[in-house]
Amino acid sequence: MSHGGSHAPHAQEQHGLTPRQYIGLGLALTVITIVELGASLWVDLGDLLIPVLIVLSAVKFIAVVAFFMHLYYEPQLLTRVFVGSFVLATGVLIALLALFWTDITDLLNGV
Amino acid sequence: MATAEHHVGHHSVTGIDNRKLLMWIFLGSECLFFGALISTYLIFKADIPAPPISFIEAHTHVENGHEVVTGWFPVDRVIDDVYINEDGTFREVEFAGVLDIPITSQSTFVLLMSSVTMVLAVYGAQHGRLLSMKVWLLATILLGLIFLGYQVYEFRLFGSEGLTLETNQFGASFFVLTGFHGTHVFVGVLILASLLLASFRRSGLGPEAGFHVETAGLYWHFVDIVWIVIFTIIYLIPA
Repeated sequence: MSHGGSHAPHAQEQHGLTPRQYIGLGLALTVITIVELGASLWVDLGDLLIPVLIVLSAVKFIAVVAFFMHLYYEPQLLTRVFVGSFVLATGVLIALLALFWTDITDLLNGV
Repeated sequence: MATAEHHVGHHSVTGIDNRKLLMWIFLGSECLFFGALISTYLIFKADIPAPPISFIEAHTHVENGHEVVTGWFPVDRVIDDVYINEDGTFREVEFAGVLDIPITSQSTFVLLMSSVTMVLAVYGAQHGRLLSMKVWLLATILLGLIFLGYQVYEFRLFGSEGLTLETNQFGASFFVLTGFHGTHVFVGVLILASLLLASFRRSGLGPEAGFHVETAGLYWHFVDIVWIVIFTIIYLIPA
């Protein structure tokens, strides 16, 4: 996710998008949320519903982390810290579900 | 000179301000915290027979002039889409879930917009536009409070419908997860309010105003991305 590699410390304090671009990104995230709602409430996607929702929320998640939190412009170490933690948390989630959920396929099938 | 030395002193051998590094490590630990809560919610959600509350709202199908039934029904009288009357007869009902997705969508939109106002506050602070920073900080605080208002409304609604922290494991895991998120939002509001109040001092937020607001913004945006995950898992993915 990192873009800049190792920056000089002072260069980190002014980076990112312009205010107009931030507002545009916020509107894009709103549109994605509306699409998520549509997919969940008004359109019958069948087995595709959960993958579609996961992909859309992942796009929102990455956009906020990369641009609102400026991780895209930060040194790679910060990306490793955060992504490493997120991957670890996801692994814990999968492990717990595998341990305690009698039928993990229910999750995948949305049952 | 003293200020410059002080500023350089915050940087570690990684070239990253150690306060910023610490904040990202903290956010990483928060990933694990919320990951555990979301796991718990999913486990209990799967183990609990639907519907998860003692009374559920039901509306009948209106077909061929049949009766219209709207109201609250004891869950032990419900099997799939059939309600068992006291006299042993049956009638079809269509159940409305306890989660009010349209209402929660509004609060999701509010929190999303608060991320936009937060990043605009950071932009203002980093570019020396202090009035802009104050206005957007205030907007973020107000949006955070509105989100908390939605959450209080939802909690009270669920309580009136029989779903509380003590109702069952679903209730416990739901309220713990969303409650901890709400607590994080509340803490974020306090942090932003303290920054806003400090900015009105004669010395303002000092020479590192951009850094302070950016660090607070990291926390606020993290609260937003946690809600993105919660909204999808709890509200959008069907039971």
